[in-house]
Amino acid sequence: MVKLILKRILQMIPTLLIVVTITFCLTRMLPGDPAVAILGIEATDEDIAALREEMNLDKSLPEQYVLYLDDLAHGDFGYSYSYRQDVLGLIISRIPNTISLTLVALAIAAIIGTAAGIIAAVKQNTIVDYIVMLLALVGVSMPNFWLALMLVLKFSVEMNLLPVMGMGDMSKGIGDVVIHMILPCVCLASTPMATFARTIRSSMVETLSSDYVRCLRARGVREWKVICLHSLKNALPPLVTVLGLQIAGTFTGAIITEGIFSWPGMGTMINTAINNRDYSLIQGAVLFSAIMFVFCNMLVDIAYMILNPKVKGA
Amino acid sequence: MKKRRLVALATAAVMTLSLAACGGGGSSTTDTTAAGGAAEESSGAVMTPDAGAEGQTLAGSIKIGDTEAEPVDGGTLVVSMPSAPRTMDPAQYTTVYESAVMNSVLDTLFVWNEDYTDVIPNLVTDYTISDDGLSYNMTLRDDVYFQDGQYVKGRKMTSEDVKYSLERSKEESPTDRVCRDFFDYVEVVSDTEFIIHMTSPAGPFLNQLAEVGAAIVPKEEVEGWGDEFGSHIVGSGPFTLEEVVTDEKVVLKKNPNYWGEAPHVDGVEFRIVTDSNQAINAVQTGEVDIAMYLQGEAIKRAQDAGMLLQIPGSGITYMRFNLQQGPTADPKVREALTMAVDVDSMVAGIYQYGEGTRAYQPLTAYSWAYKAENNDLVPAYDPEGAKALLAEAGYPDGFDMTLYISSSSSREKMAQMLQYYWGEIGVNLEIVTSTMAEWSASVVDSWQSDVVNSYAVSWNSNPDPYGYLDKFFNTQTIHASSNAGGYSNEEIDAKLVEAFSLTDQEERTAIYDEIMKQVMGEYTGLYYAYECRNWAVSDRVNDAVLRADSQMLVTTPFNNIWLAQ
Repeated sequence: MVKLILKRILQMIPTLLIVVTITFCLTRMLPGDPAVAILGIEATDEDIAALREEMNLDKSLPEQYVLYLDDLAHGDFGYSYSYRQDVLGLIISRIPNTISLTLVALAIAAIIGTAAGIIAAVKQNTIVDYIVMLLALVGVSMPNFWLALMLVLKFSVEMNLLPVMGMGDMSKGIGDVVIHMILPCVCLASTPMATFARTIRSSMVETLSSDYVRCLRARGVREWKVICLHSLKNALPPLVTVLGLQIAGTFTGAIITEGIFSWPGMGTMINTAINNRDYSLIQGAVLFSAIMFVFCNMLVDIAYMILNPKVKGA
Repeated sequence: MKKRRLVALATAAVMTLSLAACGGGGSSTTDTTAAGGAAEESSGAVMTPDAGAEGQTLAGSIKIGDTEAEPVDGGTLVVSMPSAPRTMDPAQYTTVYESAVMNSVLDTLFVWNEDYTDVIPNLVTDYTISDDGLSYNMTLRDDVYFQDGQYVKGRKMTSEDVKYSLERSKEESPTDRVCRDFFDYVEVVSDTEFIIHMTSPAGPFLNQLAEVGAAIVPKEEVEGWGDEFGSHIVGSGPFTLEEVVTDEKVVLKKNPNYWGEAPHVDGVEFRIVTDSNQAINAVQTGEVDIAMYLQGEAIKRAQDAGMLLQIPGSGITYMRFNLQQGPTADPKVREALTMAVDVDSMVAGIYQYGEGTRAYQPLTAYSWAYKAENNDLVPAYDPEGAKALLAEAGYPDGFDMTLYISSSSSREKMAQMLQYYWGEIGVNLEIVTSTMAEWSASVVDSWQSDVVNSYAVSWNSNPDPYGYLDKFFNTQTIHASSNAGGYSNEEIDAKLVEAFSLTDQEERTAIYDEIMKQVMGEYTGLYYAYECRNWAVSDRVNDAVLRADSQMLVTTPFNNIWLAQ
């Protein structure tokens, strides 16, 4: 097992190298001069030239690439000219905000989505099933930003129950933070919740009609035990696969949701970085996101091996 | 929504002004009284001076809130803005998001008055300018103390600080904050007296001293923090900088040792809200008191909710021709293209939420040198006449040309309308849209070839005519985007230099007027709109001022915001 994990970690290196190369090329293809973006269009030519030199932009692209890789190898992600801070420090200060949002949203999605999926499967082809599946369809198709604005209009502006935006303040107690999280999390949870419900429903329908379930029922095992203990366990593996994909989806969704709710996470930062042609920050943020994805995928694979021992690390 | 009272105070300096909704239609009332202005009571109240009507004299600011009630102390003013301030170091800052905060923390020697027509002394008690315009003798207030910072604990401000700050802005600013080509050095005479020496006279110099880029800061803090000073600024203003949470908020607290009238509010919190619609929602729920810089549909929503405050900005949005290459090098062609456009309809079409109003001249109507009579130099809409003129210029069947714009909905709409109007006279317009950075790269120096036949952007400066006419028409600025069309005329250059070097406003006005009459007869472009500054303000805010430069003015010599409890 340990050997397998080590092998997976080593496999991450070429993946990340490719990511680094692609982001390097893509940022260089963005139109516009970062020095002009930083200094403003009124800046003099000499000032722009001086900043270009400072940022190594006066060197050739291959030279810039080698310099960048060299810095990365030394753990130096570079300096963000738009924030005037080290990229690594900036990312580390932001990533907990995005992760907390993503994790809470996924937890809400997993709990409600799974419950809804089970109910739909048990009440298969009844009105309950149809309603749950219709809601799931709406959840998958609804754009995040639209849902966000509707929720705010209803719960903040009209009913004045929840704050419109912001992250809340720990110094005002945990309650303030929780209340600020509700709307962005619900909004972010909508898509994965619907996906989970649909996945669980279909795999539960399959297990519920299998022979061992019929056997359990014949032996007089209580229905809730059949569903929650025996069937659910066997219906879970597909959910783990979907979960891996949804982590990525939710993370990208968080970028949009953060913008709407002024949540100070990676999303707002990447936005600013792109608008300011902040090469090192864009590269750093993308690389960090890639590391997170690869890492999450690895965790999902490991979880899958535990849940289903027949799968040996392919 | 509770009905609220908007009180617009048009103060003495503006004699004839017409007040009407920026986009709310043609209702305009002429008001010539000095104060009191027009009070309106309605749920959709918008108070803006109208640049469109016959007057073309703009009131430089609008005051809002209850003027009769006794101000109440306390509370935190929460202000939202769409983008986070970056470095707030006066020698390094670049955008309005920084200056919105800096204005409350730092002090300048002079400040712009409420009407945005002239500067008034702030840290300076009195000053004299030598006859040759080469030296300014100034006296500093002797009751000014710096806020407590990391390296300075309430030290008194002296002439040495003025010398340090101004010379630093001259040396280090990426953009010209202090007329650096003309400002030489500061001579310290005593703790409160100093002389500013110039290499040659500069009429707009005092205006530059009112820009926050020329704020007086303590050397110990600047050098102690180094690059970090931008997020730990210390000055002598009414508020101290408490906390900067990147991309989230900037928190200011009342400065207990402020030399001027103490602020009514205990603090100010600037929150970063990127989405304009969310900013409106937050004003409605009371989470935010003032939402600055609204855009798009949010303006309409703010108006419907009766909390919109709108004023035409001082900047001019314009389309300029390539004056040296291609078909537009011919003044007749430019005249024809100008005549072919119904500018009033175009402006109404572009700014459907009333976020822009008609302009005529390459000079802001807020300027003291602005003469409304020159509006007549813009030819009236006449497509038939335009066709005839084109034929006369040798293009009876029209021609192909390009227009370069940065991608934003108002520029794109403008471009499509020009495409239509010019299409009517046989000119085929190709629109080239790009990001702002790419736009500036393609447009700068475009007069050297006929690739870019025209381009559009907006230009903003303080209302000194230098900030407009020199940027648009001086041969020296031919490498900047403002003069990318390549206007170059020795006679005009000489006049611009002369007007710049004088300190007497009347003499300057006379020369600038000659320049205006000449350049407007050359049809250099369409200077078509003032884009409005749009804020949403909640009921509980009183004594707030929205000035044409759209700065956040919390506690100033002419206003002091207080919150109804």
